[in-house]
Amino acid sequence: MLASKNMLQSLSEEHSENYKDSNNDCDFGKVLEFCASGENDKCDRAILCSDGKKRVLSFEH
Amino acid sequence: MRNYRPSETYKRLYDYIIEDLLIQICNSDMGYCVRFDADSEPIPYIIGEKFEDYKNKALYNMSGERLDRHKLASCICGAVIEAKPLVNVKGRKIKKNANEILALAVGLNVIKFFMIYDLLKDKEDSYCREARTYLKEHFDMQFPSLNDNICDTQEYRKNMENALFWSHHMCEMLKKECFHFDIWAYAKLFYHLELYNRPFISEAYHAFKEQEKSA
Repeated sequence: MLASKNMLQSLSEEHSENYKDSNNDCDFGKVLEFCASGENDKCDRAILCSDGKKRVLSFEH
Repeated sequence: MRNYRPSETYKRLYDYIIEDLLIQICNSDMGYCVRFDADSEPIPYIIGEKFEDYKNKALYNMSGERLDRHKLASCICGAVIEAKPLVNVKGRKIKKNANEILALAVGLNVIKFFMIYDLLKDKEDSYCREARTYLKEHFDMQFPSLNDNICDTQEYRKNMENALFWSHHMCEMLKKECFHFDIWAYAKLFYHLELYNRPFISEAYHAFKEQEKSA
């Protein structure tokens, strides 16, 4: 017979609604702030757009 | 047009990840530029609105209010695919799945930022800044190589880009059944790619420490 320990365990466990819970991850805003803080990127941020003009398309953080 | 107001978090996500990648692509002289239509909202807002839609879809099925990193990566990946920010410069040919390639890179960079945060959040400040810059610039998220493949004839990365392309692009063009972007399935793929990349980010961090020692 096929190995089936995991399948049988899943079937025998009490039904849980855990799949609905958010995981306990850290705050994304904090992560973004942490990864970008202290950097002064002075590169040209203009991007070529489909009308042939270059524009800065940022929120300027 | 809805009354969409981007959150501070989305503004950072756009400025630090999406815009950075768009600049690199459009400055690479490969014939890419960003879609611009004077009658519609600018592309950062279009992506942001779609990101909100995806997040709301995901949160609707959850009891909490915070999406974890893999669901966030999946939501922004789906949003970029739908927004299709990349188009060709007049007269130039570009890859059909360019937006899916960008979308995957955006999602993976979300994961990479979290991995950098996990690794460095408790480190001393000045050292942390150097390490963070080093990892952002030198550590590129990896995919299983062709040698790791089981029965595929092309690389994992290409398979994933194509899967994203076929899930929600060809349906429009060919009027075929849409497989829709599956937030949960792609969140799980981002989860596995984070696991796969743990040793690689450790290696990159080790290389940084060695470089600091010899400086």
